[in-house]
Amino acid sequence: MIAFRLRYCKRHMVAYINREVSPRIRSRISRYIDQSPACYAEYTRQRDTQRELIGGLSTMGRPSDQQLAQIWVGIERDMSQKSSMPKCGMGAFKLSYGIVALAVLTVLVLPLALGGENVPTTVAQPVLARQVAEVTTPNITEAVATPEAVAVSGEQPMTAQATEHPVNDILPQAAITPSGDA
Amino acid sequence: MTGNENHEETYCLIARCLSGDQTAYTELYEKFAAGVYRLCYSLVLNQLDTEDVMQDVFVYAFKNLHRYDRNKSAFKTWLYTIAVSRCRNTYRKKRLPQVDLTQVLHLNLAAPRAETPEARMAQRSVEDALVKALTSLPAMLREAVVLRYGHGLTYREIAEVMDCPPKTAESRVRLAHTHLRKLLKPEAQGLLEELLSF
Repeated sequence: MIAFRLRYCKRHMVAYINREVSPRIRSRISRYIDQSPACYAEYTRQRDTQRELIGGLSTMGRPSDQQLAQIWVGIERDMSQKSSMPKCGMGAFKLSYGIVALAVLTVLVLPLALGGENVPTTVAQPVLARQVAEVTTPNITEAVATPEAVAVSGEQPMTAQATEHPVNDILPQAAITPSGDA
Repeated sequence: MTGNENHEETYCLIARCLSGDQTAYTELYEKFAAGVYRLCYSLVLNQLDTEDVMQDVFVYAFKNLHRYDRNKSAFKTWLYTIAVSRCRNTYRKKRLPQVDLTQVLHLNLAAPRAETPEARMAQRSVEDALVKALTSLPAMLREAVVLRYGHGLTYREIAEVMDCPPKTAESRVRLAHTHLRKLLKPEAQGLLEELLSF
């Protein structure tokens, strides 16, 4: 029973001394302190320790006016350095970087903005060249097909006119149909 | 000045700072510098580091004054939160040594009642003993006990500064209390009481 009371007191003693316990717990601890020497000893120990801590910590590290003034000088210096952006340095670097990025973007976008006529079809040209090649070089086997074979197959022989279509009129489908339907 | 009047004066200073009044920054600093210094010193236990942390704390606070919300916490609590955070960075980097307290706190000096050099020396010895005792504590317990007994913060305020539940703050104070009680000798207790009674 005594051990239980002492454990109970130890658990709540700091809060009891600071008047931070409920009335029920406060009443119980007060009773234990009155009845038990061990609980009373625990109370005095905690109370004295707290007094010492409060006394020591409230005076510990008290700065002098000179120390505070010195620190304030450093604070003012830091505040003034960070508040003003220098003309050259990081700000100028960011500005030039932005200009370069804008110039690169302009070079890339400008051709598209001017329209399709002057755009070099560096990508499309090989396809067109292939189409022209396919039209101008007809399938040899069909070209040399005899009229009888053509008549049997029901296909129209390729005439010279079929090969003379200008490039712009060539539709992608025409290259696929060697019969000259284009 | 009552607590509310004190808060209102602080809020006026903050408003003046945000409107660009440079003298308001000075006044705000003078109002809170001593408390922040004591807090930082109690945590990092080193004068040079304390000055660095102090500068860092106020520069950050002044730069971010627009972020302070008076509805969420008192300005002092907000400032102390910044200070504790900066102190944690410092002693994480430095890793304060753990002192063997079985060899310290054997104080048996006679404390004269008058304000004499001997009394000042004795007071310094007590402070040194307390510093060594605090050094032995884990950082969280040290923060809790310093905020509680050194600055009188409530458990709710301590919880806000330390970013933990109030019950956790309470148990940390209790654990620190228990830890320090074993280390502070009765001679030191009596000596401190005499010194404080000057």
